[in-house]
Amino acid sequence: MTTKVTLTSSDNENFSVNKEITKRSILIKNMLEDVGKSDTPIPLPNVNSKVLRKVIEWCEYHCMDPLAPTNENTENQKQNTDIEDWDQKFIEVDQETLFKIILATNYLNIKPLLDIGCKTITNMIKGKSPEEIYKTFNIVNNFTPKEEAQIRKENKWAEDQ
Amino acid sequence: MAKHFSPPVLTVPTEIFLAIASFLTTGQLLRLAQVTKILRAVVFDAGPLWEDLDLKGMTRLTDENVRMGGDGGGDSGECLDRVCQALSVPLRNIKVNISPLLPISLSPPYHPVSSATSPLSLATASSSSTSPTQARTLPRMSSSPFSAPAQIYAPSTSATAPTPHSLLSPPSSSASPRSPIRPTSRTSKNLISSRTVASPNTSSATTKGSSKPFVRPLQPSLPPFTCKNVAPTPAAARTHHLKPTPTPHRKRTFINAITARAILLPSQLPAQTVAPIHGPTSASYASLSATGVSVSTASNVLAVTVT
Repeated sequence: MTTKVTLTSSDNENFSVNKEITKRSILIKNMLEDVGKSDTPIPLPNVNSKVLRKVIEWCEYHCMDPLAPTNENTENQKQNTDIEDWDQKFIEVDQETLFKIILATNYLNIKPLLDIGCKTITNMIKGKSPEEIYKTFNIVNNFTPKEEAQIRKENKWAEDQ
Repeated sequence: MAKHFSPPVLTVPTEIFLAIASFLTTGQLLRLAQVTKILRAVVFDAGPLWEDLDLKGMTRLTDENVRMGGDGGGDSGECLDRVCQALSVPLRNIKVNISPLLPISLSPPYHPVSSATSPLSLATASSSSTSPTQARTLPRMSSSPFSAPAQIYAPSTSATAPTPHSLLSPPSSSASPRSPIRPTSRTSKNLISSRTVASPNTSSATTKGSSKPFVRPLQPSLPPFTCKNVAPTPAAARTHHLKPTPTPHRKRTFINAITARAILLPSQLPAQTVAPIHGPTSASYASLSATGVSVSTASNVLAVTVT
């Protein structure tokens, strides 16, 4: 028999989720371990309902995946920015939602989903010049022309490679 | 009155940027750091990039073996730091090239090692199997001649430190690795000087403290050397105008280092000498240059001068 856990989003929407699924989040897992058997809803004040729905969707799809090892910061994994097809489609959202998902997964401590979000941002940055990055992320350049020229000069060695 | 539209602003914590940055290559990371001041601060100050590049200057590159040059001063890390700062090059990006060598015959007990460990090109960023941390913690073999640096840079004609380019630039086309040495090449000349051996039977014109050490390139027609690994005794050091110091052991180690360089071809160097640029070996180059070590030759005779 599967037990259910109630999660409450920041906009007070309740989500009844399988306990095993919620354990993809280290935060919720630890909370459940601390609280023990309790029907009290778990408040998630940093996650709104839209984002929480997405996160739960991802957790349900990946519920059978083995839990990621803790020390997976190997060089290969760092450089690999490939994302699975399902995850690629899942993460095809507007930029604001994407960053909110990243923030939520960081808060909920769901490392695989956090990695997917970060890889997506990385793929958006890859191969782009600083000017293109400004446009992509709607960032305002706050360097003076002199500083910019200096930085470009300093980084020239990397561009030549 | 029309309301001014402002896009929603999200506060993304530093650790998210660091997580994103961990998937970027160095070049892409530098481009990201060019975007805004905050990103630059995040990437360079809070990021783990420093651990990789060792640019923060928190680590001092020192090698006690070469520190003893002259008055015992000489900050070995300082020169390399300055070179890197001047060129805006991270330490890992420096390639150390070993220039052509004299056809020196070997004598025991030095046994050639496989060419796989040849330090002809020490591209430390990619090819080095020793991590910087490991390199820093490698035990010094002060009593062994193998503690010699992979390459000793001697000043060309004066006791001044070499320019950054002489340290960093690859060998010129006229001095490709393993090709016969050409005395016309400045680099080659230096290396000829640095690879000759101190002979206990003869003396040279250079003395400690002389302002202009005598450096003469070898003639192309000179026959190859047959060198022996002779660790100079204090008496031998006196013969070579080297003042006996209160720390003769260290001085001997230094001489041994020069001697070992002289009789070993790069492909025959032991694996221990193949250290990444972070290690004490790299510091040795800088210190040797900075402290004004010069090695001169005259009729197959060598004298080591520490200024």
